[in-house]
Amino acid sequence: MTRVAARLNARTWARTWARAWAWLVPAAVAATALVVSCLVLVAAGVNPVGALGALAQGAVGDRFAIADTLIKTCPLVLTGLAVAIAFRSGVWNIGAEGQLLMGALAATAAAGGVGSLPRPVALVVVLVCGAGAGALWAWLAAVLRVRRNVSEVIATIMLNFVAARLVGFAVHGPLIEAGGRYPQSDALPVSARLPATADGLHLGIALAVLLLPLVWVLLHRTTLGFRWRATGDNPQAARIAGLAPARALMTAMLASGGLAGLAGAVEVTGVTGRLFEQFSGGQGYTAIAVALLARLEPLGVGLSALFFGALAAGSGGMQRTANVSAVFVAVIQATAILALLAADSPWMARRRALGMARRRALGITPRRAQGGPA
Amino acid sequence: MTAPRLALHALTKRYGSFTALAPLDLQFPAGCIHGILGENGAGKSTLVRLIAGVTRPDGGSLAIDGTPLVGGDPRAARAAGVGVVHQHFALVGALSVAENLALGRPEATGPWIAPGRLAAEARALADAHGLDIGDPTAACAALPVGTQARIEILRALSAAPRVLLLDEPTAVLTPAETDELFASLRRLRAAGMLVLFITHKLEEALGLCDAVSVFRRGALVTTVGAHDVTARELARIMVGAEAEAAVTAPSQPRRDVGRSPEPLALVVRGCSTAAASGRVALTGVDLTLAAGEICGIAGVDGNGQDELAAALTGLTPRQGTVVVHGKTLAANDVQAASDAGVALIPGDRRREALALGLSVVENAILPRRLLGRFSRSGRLDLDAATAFATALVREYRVAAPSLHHPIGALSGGNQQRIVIGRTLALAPRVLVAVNPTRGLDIQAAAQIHALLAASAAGGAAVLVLSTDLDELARVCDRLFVLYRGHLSAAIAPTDRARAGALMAGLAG
Amino acid sequence: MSETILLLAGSALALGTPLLLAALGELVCQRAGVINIGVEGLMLTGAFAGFLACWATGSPLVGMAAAGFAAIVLGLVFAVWVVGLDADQVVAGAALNILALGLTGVAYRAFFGVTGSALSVTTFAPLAIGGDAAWLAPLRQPAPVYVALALVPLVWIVLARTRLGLTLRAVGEAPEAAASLGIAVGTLRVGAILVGALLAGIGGGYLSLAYSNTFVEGMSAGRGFIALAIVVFGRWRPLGVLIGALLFGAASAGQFHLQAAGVAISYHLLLMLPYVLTLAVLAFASGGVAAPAALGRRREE
Repeated sequence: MTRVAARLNARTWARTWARAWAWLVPAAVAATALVVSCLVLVAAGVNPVGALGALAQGAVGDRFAIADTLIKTCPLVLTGLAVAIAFRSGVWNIGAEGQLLMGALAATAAAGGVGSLPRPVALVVVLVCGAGAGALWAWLAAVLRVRRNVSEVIATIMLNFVAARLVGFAVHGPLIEAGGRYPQSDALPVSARLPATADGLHLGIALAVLLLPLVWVLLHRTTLGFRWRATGDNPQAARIAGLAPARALMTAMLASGGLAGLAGAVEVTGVTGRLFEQFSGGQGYTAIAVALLARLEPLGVGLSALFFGALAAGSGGMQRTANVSAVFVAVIQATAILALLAADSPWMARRRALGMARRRALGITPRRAQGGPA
Repeated sequence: MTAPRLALHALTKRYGSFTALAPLDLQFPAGCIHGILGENGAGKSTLVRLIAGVTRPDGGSLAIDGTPLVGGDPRAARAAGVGVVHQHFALVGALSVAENLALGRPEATGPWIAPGRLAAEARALADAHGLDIGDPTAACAALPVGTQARIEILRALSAAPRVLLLDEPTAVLTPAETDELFASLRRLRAAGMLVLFITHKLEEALGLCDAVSVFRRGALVTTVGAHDVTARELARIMVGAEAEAAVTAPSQPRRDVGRSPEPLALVVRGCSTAAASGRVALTGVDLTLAAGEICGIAGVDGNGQDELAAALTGLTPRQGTVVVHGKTLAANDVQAASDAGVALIPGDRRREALALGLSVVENAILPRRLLGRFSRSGRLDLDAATAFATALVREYRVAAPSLHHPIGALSGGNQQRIVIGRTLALAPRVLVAVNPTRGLDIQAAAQIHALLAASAAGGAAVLVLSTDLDELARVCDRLFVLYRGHLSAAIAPTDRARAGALMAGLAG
Repeated sequence: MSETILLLAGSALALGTPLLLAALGELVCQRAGVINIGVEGLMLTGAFAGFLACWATGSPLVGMAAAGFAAIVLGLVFAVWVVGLDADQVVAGAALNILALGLTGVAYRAFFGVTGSALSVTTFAPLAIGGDAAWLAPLRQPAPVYVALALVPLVWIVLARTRLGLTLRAVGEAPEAAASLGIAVGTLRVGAILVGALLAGIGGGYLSLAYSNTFVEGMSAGRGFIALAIVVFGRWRPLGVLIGALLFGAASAGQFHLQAAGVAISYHLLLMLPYVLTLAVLAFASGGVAAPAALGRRREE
């Protein structure tokens, strides 16, 4: 083979490798998470194969399982997008949980008043109320951050707890069901319920899937998204460039909260049909893992949410069949995040830089004008 | 025959396939001040880091007074007698002077510290070396830069080093403070210390050092006695013949100072800012700039240049009036300033001008008014933006492998070209440039000076704020000096003596 | 009236202690420049480990030791990621919380199966102080409370009057400068993280071994996050943290007393009180110049 051909092959390989890396990392991370989780199971005296088998069965074993997976994926897509937008804009929105709850709360409250409206109108009203409530909840933290320099990490977490208590207050009080026996709201009127198949697949799932490319366009092809990304990358440079990062941050939080609130509204109108305590069970926190695994890219959120949705769906089966607490999936999530952090860490970047240097020596990537360390 | 104070044998450092320092053999005697000269990227910083133990060598060895020194271990280096005064001060701002000095002397103080004792020790140290550091209990961040420099040096001296490395120590000192520093260094030389003085300022090096070593592109070019060579010859060695002219060309003012007045592009009256913590306040700055004129403002870092640039471009609140082409600007309003045609080239491009994770194209259209050109009702026209960026790259000869890769991968010079190119594409009426060529090599700097001149020729009023008097002499029509937030009257750009005096606060 | 005040003071101490312990630990960690939002998970881990060890051995002291040890092990994971791999501190802390939740849940089930009623363990008895004197009632607290109070001046002395504290503060303000002086920045940060973890674990152990006598999933209930707020409120000073912890303890206690007094506010709204208070406090007393300059910053920045 001639030298030119050899170098061409090496060049294509290098480029393919660089592109593959983007997909390789999440896949490797997911695999690592599962392996580590197996170890945890073994330590807890559980047969990992059996447990993971039950997990897989519960996730994709039959059509009910698949439907369950899709149903559980839906809120993760919406909250995953919410977290991705926020993180991308440099705001640590840990409050997707509370924003989701407020969305569910607002949707339930609104549903009470739209019973007489035609179904499409009622649904739009209810969903918009949900999104609005979530946006408002996020806005509170954003205002504290911009005006009073309060860490949004602490503020959003505090608001999560407040939202949970508000839901508790509501279902024990103002929104309690007519009979007053259980702390839950009345069932939502039919006009405020998302249409769904017999298996429970509801319209919200389609809505979530639709939002994936829309959010991508928003983030990458609009001025607003550009300002978000610039603010997230370098707020000071964004300010000097006249991009008003403070306002960008606020709108990012509004969008983020709105998506999370929409998730809550979709859950209550499409899945549960009523509001009660422990409504969410940590989806807002799972969303962080979803967004990170997707590398904060809207299109990646789809697959990432599917992965965690499958885990959530399977966990029920795992609890029933293998007697492993459903909260075990938290271990998988945490391991996934840690593996991602390791993959993204500067340490890893340095190893990749050494690889790059080797490829440069092969004449594959063009030299910079002034080569050397960054 | 005694061993040399510092001996380097085949010392080398590589980053991947890039050689930062080619195998170096060099010996320094005790009781000597030795200059290390070279432009950016010559390998000076790498050499400092290797001797100080911050970086591990890839080959070769070091020895102090004959004893080998373990590479890559800062503590071993300090124990062996290496003291370093870094270019960017290694002072902990929130801690007091005494505490900072105590940090540098672990052996002396023991596990318990009492503020009173630390302060007394600090004063004793200052007296012993004849360096005035003021109140030992003051927090370092609030002190003037000259004092901070002295504290840095005192801390390095407190460990009684045998080799003292000073990395560009005069970058932030006034000429008077520089003289004081040189006097201290000569005293240390007389006491037998080896002083390694790293700089890119030729006149300084020749005035202070006994011998100089010149580096270029990671390799030692030559070592000569300071009295055996002229600045011109050194320049030729440092950068090669073609750029020598740029370094030592006699500085002429670009245009006569007293020309017939052009329309006034910028009128600043009574501009004052509040003092943020540790930073100086502007007091009643008056300034007028005509279109087509290049005005320079000299000053040591920390005397108000950043504050002035920020106040003029609407980044911070201010008092007083700023009028651009007859239009009064609201204070603290970035958009109003940019709408009126005021553009800023920030002093720190990585922190203030670029979003390193975003692509070259996206950085090229970062400024709001440019972004507006490439968006239609909220949607970004990426094709048009790419075409714009491609044109920019071509016109300013930017070496960028791919326009859609993060701009962080480009070199500093290329990044700065993008920043300037996009700013000029806005056709600003008032261009404020802060240290536009800091950290760039001579060729890049010359190109940027030409761009600024072209911008002025095109009708912009250009204001250059810089710490480099040579740059200002080369580029400006008129020169002012900022000292402690107060702007001097205009002086001739070539009058270095007067500029130096004003920068030190002397009525000159 | 005075009886109510005494009761309130006692409750404030009792409820403020876990906050104080976690906040002191986080204070040390943050003064070294590392923000650890995984305090919540560490407290939970401590609560469970303490409960488990005490249930197995019958000794709350052994339980406390186990609580601290377990938290240190988990804190070590955080330290490796944040110091060794230079990972983002907020995300790593969030992962820590999720990990603790999962591990304690799995472990609880593994050891105790699915029990309907809560298991109970022996706890630290309140110290008998002052005999029967009514006005000394608030002082009759279990031993860990006094340990926590004693830690306040101890932390102050170490930070302000020892070389170790000086280098730690330098690391939190200007790590690059400290490194150039030969200070082992990484080692100090790991140490600070582990101290923070230890104290958070003990704070959690207090929850299951003194404040209550059992373990419930998620029993830390946000206290770790409130501890974060207390560090800010206390301006990163031990005395400020003490005042903050007592204030928050009093507020939490107040909500119970309001309930007991039959005040007609919904139980749920009262439960919101600590979190709303945290937000209010942060809104008026937030950060600014008092925070360690290098807090949360990664090496590469």
